[in-house]
Amino acid sequence: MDIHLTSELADGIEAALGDLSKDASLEYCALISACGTIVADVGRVPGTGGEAAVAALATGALFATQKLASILGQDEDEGLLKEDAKRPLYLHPLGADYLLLSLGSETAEAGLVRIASRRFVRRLQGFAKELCIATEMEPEPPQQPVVVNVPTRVAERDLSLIFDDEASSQERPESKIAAAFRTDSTTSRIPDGWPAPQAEVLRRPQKSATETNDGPSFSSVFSTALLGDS
Amino acid sequence: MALVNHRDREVTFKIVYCGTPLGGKTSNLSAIHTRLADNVRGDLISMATGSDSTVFFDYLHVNTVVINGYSTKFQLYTVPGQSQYNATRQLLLRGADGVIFVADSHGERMEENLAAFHTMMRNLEANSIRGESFPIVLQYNKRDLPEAAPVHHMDFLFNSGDRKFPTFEASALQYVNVVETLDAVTQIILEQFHQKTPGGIQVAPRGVQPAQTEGAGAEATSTSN
Repeated sequence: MDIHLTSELADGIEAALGDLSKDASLEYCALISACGTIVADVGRVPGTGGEAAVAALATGALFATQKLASILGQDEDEGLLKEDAKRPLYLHPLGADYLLLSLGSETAEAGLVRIASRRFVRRLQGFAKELCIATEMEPEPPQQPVVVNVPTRVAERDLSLIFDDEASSQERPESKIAAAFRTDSTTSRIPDGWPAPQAEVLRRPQKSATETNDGPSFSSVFSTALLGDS
Repeated sequence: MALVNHRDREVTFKIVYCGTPLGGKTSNLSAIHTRLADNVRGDLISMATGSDSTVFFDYLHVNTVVINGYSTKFQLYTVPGQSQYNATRQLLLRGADGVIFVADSHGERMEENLAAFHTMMRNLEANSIRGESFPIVLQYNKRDLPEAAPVHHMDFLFNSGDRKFPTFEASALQYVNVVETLDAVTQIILEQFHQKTPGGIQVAPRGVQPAQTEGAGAEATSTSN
């Protein structure tokens, strides 16, 4: 089951986060899913870590604290405030599946960040509920068979980098280690009483990414993004 | 649970590395971080103790392909291997789109590998993730060790059930089959996602919801990106 964020919902959440950001002098605020993915955000986090890493860490911190609280017998669904001389951080759960992250500016007061954030919790919980409903909806099948299209020049360029048949079909030389494994695997004796192996051991993805009548193949998404390969 | 942002044309997937303590999960992530081009990956966030054990999790995000006009992002997590961190592991598997199980090939670590494998399956169930079709790839790491158990032995232990998982022999420290393992799970995730959303993601011009687009596909692919 996937989360489908429509334009309308994204705009609504961003508007709410924008209002919160103004009210509480925030540097950054975000609605994050429980799996650590940013649903919508406003502002930028300072430093080089990036918003995605901050969201992942914040999610882990909040839900780990909740788990700790539940082990200690504390059942209240309270937020988590990290006070600091600069940039206070406040995390608040929005139901079981989402959370709010508020990062104050250098001059923001920790208490005010918390109060302002809590004021917006109900409004954001409404969006979180809508997201849950959207998540439960199955996407409608298209009327006609649809082939994968590369709609823009940007996409064409990106796909040519990734789905370059010529580049991906060039076999890299097999390492000595890999060669040694092969020898070991084929010559090592099956211990007495063990059944013969059934599973196929793959050494590489089977084929480069191509598009077929059955749809695209996504077999070398990461290999083609390696340093020096593109 | 992929997040599909139709406005910003982004799809985000979560992949989790599970496995026995000190089996090479963090080494996998570190190898990927080292080998991927700077412009497609973020910083590697790692929380390890002095003994190299992961305390909470390691995290790396990667922007890869553009599919059907949507950019795909992958969030890669490792879970802590030690048994006392099971609550953290369960938490991190929440919303996962695929899992790579990293088994330590050392002959003496098979029991620990098996315990970790069964715990992972239980944690997936606890997160309402159904094991029969969920993307799982096995990686037999540390194949360069002289004490490595035979591959067919490991296959028997981890892959002799009704469902056969794709399996890779690897050496994360030497970058052998690390990216290939990740490619394999990514391939399954993207193919399943593609099947779930017939024709891939329906592409609509900015500001128009996919459901409102007539004849989604060839005619409805213009974008301002």
